[in-house]
Amino acid sequence: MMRKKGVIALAVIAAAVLVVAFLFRDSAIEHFIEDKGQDIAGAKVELDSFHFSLLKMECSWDRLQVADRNDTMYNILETGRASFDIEVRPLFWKRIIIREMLLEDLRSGTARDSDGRLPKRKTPKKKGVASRAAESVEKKARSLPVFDLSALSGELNIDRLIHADSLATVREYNKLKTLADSSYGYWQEQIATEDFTERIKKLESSVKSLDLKSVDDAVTLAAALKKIDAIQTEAKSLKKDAGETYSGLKGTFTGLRQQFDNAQNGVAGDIEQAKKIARLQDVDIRNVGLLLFGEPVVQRYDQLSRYVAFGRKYLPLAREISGGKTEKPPRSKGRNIQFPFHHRYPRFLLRTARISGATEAGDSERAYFLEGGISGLTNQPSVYGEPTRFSLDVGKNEGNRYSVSGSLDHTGTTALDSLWVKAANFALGTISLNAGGMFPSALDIHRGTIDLTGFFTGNDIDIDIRFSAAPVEFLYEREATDSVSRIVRDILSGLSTVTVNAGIKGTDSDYSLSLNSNVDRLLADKVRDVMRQKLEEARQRVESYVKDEIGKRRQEALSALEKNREKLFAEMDAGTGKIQEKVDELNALKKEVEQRIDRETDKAKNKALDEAKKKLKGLF
Amino acid sequence: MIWLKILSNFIKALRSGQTPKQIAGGFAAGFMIGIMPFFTLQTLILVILLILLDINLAAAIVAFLLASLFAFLCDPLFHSLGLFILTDIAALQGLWETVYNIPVAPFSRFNNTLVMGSFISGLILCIPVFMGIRKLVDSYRSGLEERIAKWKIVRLVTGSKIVRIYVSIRDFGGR
Repeated sequence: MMRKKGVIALAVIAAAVLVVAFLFRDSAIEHFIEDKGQDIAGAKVELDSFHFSLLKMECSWDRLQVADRNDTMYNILETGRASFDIEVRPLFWKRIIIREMLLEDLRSGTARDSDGRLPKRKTPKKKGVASRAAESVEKKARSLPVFDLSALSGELNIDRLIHADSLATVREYNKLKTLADSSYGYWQEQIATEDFTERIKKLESSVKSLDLKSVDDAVTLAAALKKIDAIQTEAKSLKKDAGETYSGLKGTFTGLRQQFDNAQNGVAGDIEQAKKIARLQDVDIRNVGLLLFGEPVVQRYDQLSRYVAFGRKYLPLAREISGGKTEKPPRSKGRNIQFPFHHRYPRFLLRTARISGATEAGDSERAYFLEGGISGLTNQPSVYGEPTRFSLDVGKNEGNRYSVSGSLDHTGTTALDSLWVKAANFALGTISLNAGGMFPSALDIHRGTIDLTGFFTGNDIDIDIRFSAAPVEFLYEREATDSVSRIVRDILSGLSTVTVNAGIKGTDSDYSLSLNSNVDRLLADKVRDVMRQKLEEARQRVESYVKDEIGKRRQEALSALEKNREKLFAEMDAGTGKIQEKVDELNALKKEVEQRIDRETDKAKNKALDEAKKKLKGLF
Repeated sequence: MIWLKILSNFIKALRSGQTPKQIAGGFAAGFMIGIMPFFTLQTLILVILLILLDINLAAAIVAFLLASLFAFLCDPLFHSLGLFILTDIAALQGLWETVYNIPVAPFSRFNNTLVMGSFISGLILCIPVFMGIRKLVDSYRSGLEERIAKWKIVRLVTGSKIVRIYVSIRDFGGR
């Protein structure tokens, strides 16, 4: 059943595969590492003289260059010779575990011979917790109230700074004036609709038409009385309508008057608003610190957050490894189901790496020496079960030293990252402050010390930064042209040390930046003392300006209201007077007619009695 | 041309030479290789077996091509079957866990839904494929060939220019 030729063919194929693998293994692995590295770095990764020894299971290279993706003519990282050995047993599970790596001559910022840019690839950017926090903190820093005393430095031009129409009370009085005018129009229309003048005229003519002088009989008088009753009913109705209109009118104007009084309550608020517009708030020391150092702190935090995001991207959590994806995989790919793995072999693990390097090789006085290590660097932290730890010491033989250490614990379902940075006696150079106005544009620091601790637990962030520098020099872009600028400069020129304490804390895109420094306290106290009187005067001016403006508008609105009220009430008073007059006249007339009817009735009665007596006399 | 040669060899094998068992064995092995994703440990073993065992290579290549097309069409089905076997059968979880922890086993990629689904499907299908091909060879040799040769489509193909060119090139060396 076996094929003789087949055995030979298989032997030939196997031999050919082995020869090819042996001859091309170095370049194949080199390309593989470069490709994977480029995916991570986003720029060219180049290995020189990579060598893999199958017998010893050892790898080495002479040089590694990782281009800086922001400036591709420079390397973000360059190493000299590196060597490491691979554990054999995990290879049977397709796991690559590097026991120990030695990385020499580590450098950064070295110039490249060729451009390290990669062809552009579109990769959707997912915002991590760190970048969300950086955005949130920056937004808050930008929205801080501006500490600016420039309004006090020159002559306060209130008319230019404050527009009377922007004051709430002024707007309210303008509204009330319009309301008074429209109320006048409304009530005039109401009076016209009720037609009081015409109805009064009608009443007068009805009364005139009665003409009772020529009437001398009781029957005609009784008929006239009926007419008077009818006219009286109309007069009463007219009086009632006029009374209703009058009370409505009175109610409207009482309400308007009430609103005028209420509007006065907003004056205090307007004065405060005007002071704010004229930048005459109380001096808040928090604002000065944030204004001066907020931006540099946020910028450095932004850099830091990028490193954290980078770590989180390539050291996934347990839940990110297991995936839990239920959607259909792409065609011809399938889905890998993970089962409990009993060996602590992640897919990739670098157990230990020892790093050493120096800049300015050959010049031990100027050179910075680097020394550090990484342990437990893996793409499956939950399988390895231990956090990735790193530490790096950078320093000169005599002088400043930096120390960075951290732990990235992604072994569970929540990332626990911590970072410690200590830098002592280092030259920081010039820091741009960008606070604007009368404040310094930059701070030149001779020597500084920084102490940073940062804890990133899931979406929670807790960072403390303590910074001190001495001696310092504040730099200005412009000459001091006003008194306040000169005061600020005097205060800052006497300052030889700067200490800043900053904290960034929060969770789920609600992050807050707190910051205080010795500059805040000193500046605020001195400015407060010097400016107190000037500030008070300016406040008084603003206050009286606001009060005058409001008073003017109130007077205008009030006189419009009074004018309209007087006109309407005069009209109504005249009408109601006439109506009352007619009502009284009708009452008197009615009384007179009733008396005359009584008289005429008595007269007729007596006459009839006399006639009856006469007739009875003749009869007997 | 290589494809025509493989096809010609396959047809030649159907007529005479190797036994129906050898042809069916080659076809079944090629079918198994074609139905699964290529870069797995089991594919390597099957290829080695194919080289070592005295079975028909042309039949294996033809089967490999046909099975690859079949596998592409049945991809979602294989994924679902693999997912079911790997995750939904509680009794097998212990087995998978043990296999997952055996050295070299990960090279089989058995924990991939597509590999598992296609492997199981291949195992099930290779028996009827083997039997069917054996029967087909028997029938072909006992008169089916003559009947097929009369088919219009076969006459069209054999009479086509490309086949004639191939035959003239093949016979150029004095065959």
